[in-house]
Amino acid sequence: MSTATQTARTSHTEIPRTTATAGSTGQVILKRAAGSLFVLWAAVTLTFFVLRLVPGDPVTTILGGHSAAPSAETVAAVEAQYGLDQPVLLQYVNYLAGLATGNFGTSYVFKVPVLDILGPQILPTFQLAGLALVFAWAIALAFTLLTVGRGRVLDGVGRGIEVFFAALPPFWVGIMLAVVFAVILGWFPVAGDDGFKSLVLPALALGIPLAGFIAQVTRSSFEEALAQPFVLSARARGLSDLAVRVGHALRHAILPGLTLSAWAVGSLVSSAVVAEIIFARPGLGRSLVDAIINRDLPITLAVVFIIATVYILVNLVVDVLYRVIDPRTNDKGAGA
Amino acid sequence: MTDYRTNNDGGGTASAVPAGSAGEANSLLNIEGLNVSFATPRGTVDVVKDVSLALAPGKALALVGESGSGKTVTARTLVGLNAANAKVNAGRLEVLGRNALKLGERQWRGLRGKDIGYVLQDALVSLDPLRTVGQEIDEALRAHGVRGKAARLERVHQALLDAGIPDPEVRAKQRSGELSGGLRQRALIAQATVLNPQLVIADEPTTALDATVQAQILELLAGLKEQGRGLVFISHDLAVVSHLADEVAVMQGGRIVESGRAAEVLSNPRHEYTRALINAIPTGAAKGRRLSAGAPVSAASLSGSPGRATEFSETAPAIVARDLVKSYPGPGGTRRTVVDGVSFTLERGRTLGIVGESGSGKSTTARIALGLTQPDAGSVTLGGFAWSGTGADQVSEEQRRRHRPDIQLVNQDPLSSFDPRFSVGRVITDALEAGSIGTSGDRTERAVTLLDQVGLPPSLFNRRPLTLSGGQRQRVAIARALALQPRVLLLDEPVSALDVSIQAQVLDLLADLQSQLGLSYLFISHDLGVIHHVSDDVLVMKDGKVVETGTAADIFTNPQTDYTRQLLAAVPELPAREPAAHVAAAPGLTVKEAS
Amino acid sequence: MSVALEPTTTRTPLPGGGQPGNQPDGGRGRTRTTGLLAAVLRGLRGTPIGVWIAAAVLAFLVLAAVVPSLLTVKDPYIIDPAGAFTAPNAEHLFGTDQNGRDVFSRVIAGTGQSLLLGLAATAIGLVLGGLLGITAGVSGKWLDSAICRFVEILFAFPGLLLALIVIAVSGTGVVTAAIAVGVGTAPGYARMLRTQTLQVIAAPYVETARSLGRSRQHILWHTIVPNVIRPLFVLATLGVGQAIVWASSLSFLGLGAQPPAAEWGAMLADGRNYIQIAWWIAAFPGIFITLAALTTTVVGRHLQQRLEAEV
Repeated sequence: MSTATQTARTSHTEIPRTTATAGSTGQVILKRAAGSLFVLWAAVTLTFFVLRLVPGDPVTTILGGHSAAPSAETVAAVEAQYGLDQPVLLQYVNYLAGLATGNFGTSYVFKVPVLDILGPQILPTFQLAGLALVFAWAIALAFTLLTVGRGRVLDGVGRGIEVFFAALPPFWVGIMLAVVFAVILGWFPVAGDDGFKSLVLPALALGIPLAGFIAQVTRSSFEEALAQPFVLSARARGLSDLAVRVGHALRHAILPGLTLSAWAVGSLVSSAVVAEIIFARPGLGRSLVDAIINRDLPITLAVVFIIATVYILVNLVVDVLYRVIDPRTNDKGAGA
Repeated sequence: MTDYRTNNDGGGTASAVPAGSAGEANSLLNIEGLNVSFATPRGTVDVVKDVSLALAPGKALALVGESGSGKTVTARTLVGLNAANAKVNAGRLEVLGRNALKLGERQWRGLRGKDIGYVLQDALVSLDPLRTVGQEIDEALRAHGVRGKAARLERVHQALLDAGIPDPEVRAKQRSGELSGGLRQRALIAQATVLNPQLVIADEPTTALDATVQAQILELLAGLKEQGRGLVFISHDLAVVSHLADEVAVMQGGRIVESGRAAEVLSNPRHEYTRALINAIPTGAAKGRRLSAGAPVSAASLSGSPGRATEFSETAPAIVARDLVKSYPGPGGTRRTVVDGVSFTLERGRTLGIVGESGSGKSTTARIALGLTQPDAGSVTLGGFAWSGTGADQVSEEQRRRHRPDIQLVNQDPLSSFDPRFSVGRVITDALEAGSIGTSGDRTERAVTLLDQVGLPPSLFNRRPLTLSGGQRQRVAIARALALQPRVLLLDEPVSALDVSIQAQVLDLLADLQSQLGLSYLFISHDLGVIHHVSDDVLVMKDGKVVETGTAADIFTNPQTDYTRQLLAAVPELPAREPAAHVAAAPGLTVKEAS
Repeated sequence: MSVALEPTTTRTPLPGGGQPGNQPDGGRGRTRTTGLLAAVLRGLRGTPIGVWIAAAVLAFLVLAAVVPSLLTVKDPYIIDPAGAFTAPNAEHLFGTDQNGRDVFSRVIAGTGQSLLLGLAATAIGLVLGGLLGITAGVSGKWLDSAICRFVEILFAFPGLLLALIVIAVSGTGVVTAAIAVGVGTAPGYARMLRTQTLQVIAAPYVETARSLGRSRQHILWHTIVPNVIRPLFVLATLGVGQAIVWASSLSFLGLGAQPPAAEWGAMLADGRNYIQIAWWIAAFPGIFITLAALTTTVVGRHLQQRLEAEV
């Protein structure tokens, strides 16, 4: 019953599996935290040096593009101001030192500290990603509980809708939702960031395709769980069908979906950009795409750092949750 | 939902109601003309046909048959737990005095767990692995409205105690995966019997258990019977049946072919199928006797092929293993010694049986003998040349490779040993090619000959192994092993996954091949009956060590160690065929072992 | 019937027997017909109607990609300001856009580019992921854990992020978009193929090859690699659908194909501005992206089930 294998087999998008390590929960969290710090450092380092490969001189970007035609003194001044006159390795060390103190550098385009730009963007994006995940799980669980093993017709319908959802491009869903529920019906605002109501449609745009993926993974493990002898044992004890589904099968079925969610949260933060653009919301994704187009490296690097941190933190949380749901991981370690 | 329906025309043909039980007023089961069929997209499949059964309190009824005989479906019908596409009809289907044909799902639920307990095979998967056994037992109590947390906890502990589990307070907090096989199976019985059901149904309750544990569980089940409950159990093992059942119904192809008092049926079988089943059981008494009715295969077709060049000695023993040790890293930097100072000699042309319970190290010993696992210490010689070892005896894989054809493996699950891309023919021609035997032109012909030698028709040549039956697959595996013209076959549980009649045929085939090709067998099994039947010499292993070794006759008639005696005593044996020799008491069922 | 005869017919798994709760149609009794034609027929018979429909739609998309002229005669780039924002009608099946271009011809013309983008991205992802994953799987401890660590680091760039970084470095455009999506999917493939490789290596048939006396090299190239690669085609089919969605996302963001190119994502981005007056400009490209992703997934899933039934 290797859930890792199961995950690899049933889904075709990249789903990292939670690598359960042996040991007591406390030890494991410590070990994992150390590993996470390493991954975070490596991700930042990789990004830092890869972004050096970006064609064009950062100074040109800072000074407003090729048309600026700056004098040599201006260039030198800017280089000194942004530390670009130093060797790359020193720049790297300075950057890391800055990170440690919460200093992400200065935006090339806006000429203000990166955090001043990104700070207000963080919360809206997290709200969006969080609600999208809640929607995705709600839809996925509703589908699995209501349709798995309930006869050929319902089963087929559930299966079909899940595949359909997973195939939907989020940006198109967003546009269509906006047309129907905002423009035609007027139930939700078309754009902006104005409370929960303005969050619903963008979260659905991101959540519906994700629900398709989670439901597919959950369905197959739910089916597998329902076919297990312990389910028959439970029914032979006099339990009702619903009690067996909720009390026994569901707990087994959500494990792969949980692992998928850790990846999904990180992915949602970067994919949020399409919803942010369609619904004219502030957010990290939008800042990232703008920064890439404008070659604003400090902002790009900072967003990458934030997303990687979120991904790693969520993974840690999922690892703990996994252990709560499946205590076997504590006994044997690798047997997750 | 399963469709239950009265069938009036089926009732009259009831033919297999065990004598003396039918129609009694207080009977737990009264079934006549039961048919179960399944609606599939390809039409209706009849699985149970015209089955009639009866059971009185305090009695045990055994349903016996091979896979696909319909025994499990019959048992599930008695708890109303058949698949949704099942159609049930019967002339009479009375369970606990109620007309089961008229029971709705809600009424069934009221019976399940409370009045009928259902015990499955293998508690590792039959208890929710994520929950503690206490929670599992408690669930039965809650489902039937037992109030009060403390009161329920009390009953959980009592149920565990009743099932023979010491320290119930501790065990109740453990999950099935944390318990040993024996305790686990007891917990499974506890969760089915916590509400004291009048009727207990057990589906292969002792299969997959080691012999000593099996004996304990049989004792526990017998205890249930003595408390006045009715017991219906399914088994493919006639010896188990003979110790527990009062009545037996032998099923084949969905029908009951013979039924009656267990002692009567087993010692004086009337139906041809029952006789064949009993004949097929390998025991010491059956040594040298053919287990199946098939004609011996002929190796004449192979004698014409030129022998492969080999350095395998004609004088030295086939395998000599000296002081083998193998350990693996355990938790917390410790090392778990799996094989601990094992030595043995396999003489040419003979069979050495290695027997032991799970975890005894027999499979690791086999892997070392095959040269697939490097031992930590000790050495192995194969046909007189160095084969595996450490230090000065170290043999590199390159040196070993040219000798590999001399020793070949047949394991329990042949399917997994076939490259999934290969057809049956390709499996064998690939082996021929690996051993550079024959030319690319005549390998097909050789492969067909090999198939013939193991009793398979040439028409299977292009089939995928997946589409073959278990017995056919095992024959293909044997043919592949023979393709390299080996001198030694390592047989690791080769018949453990097969039905008894198929097992009989494969064992007969192996015996024929040995006598005609002069092969030496290293035969590994947990099944003492099989080991007794096939072995010249026997090695008994426990916890990585050799407990006892000797000729098969010595080990089985005059065991020297307590462990071997325990092991032998725990094996339920069939009563001798003469009715007079049947002893009512179950000897050896009193073995206790801390599990 | 005598038990001495081993059943020569395939034993059909019995309903309700074996695994509890299983259905008779779960274990398919196989017919014994041999030969390629029979095998094909047998495969076709068991194919559900949904897969048939998906395959037909996919065939239509491929046709549109290969010979668009067969389906439309209108030039997808001809501007006709007078005929802008025409609602779908007999002449303009999907209506016209803000420049009076025929949306149907543009969608058909975009099929080739979108499918090609998806295919190229998947191929890049599979090759990169395959090299990493299979190498890790067959290598010793050191290289394996080094690659694993590297892949783990790449996973810290989830979703579109890795693709966005590639674009940040190499600029916008169709080719970059294909590479970006390919690189973005590579870590997933790497992990999957490593698992697959490890499973194959642990399979008893690899050990059997060893005990037959095969050399390490022979086993690697004739047993392990072919069995690891076997499901790749199916994996690719499943991946193309998602790659198309990702690539069109990039175009939608203005990072992939650029207007006025007839690419689905770019068309959608274009049409979004007129969604309140002409829904069809954005709706149809979106429907086609969904169709492409949906049909490849359904067909790929079916092939996967068939393959798994064989293992």
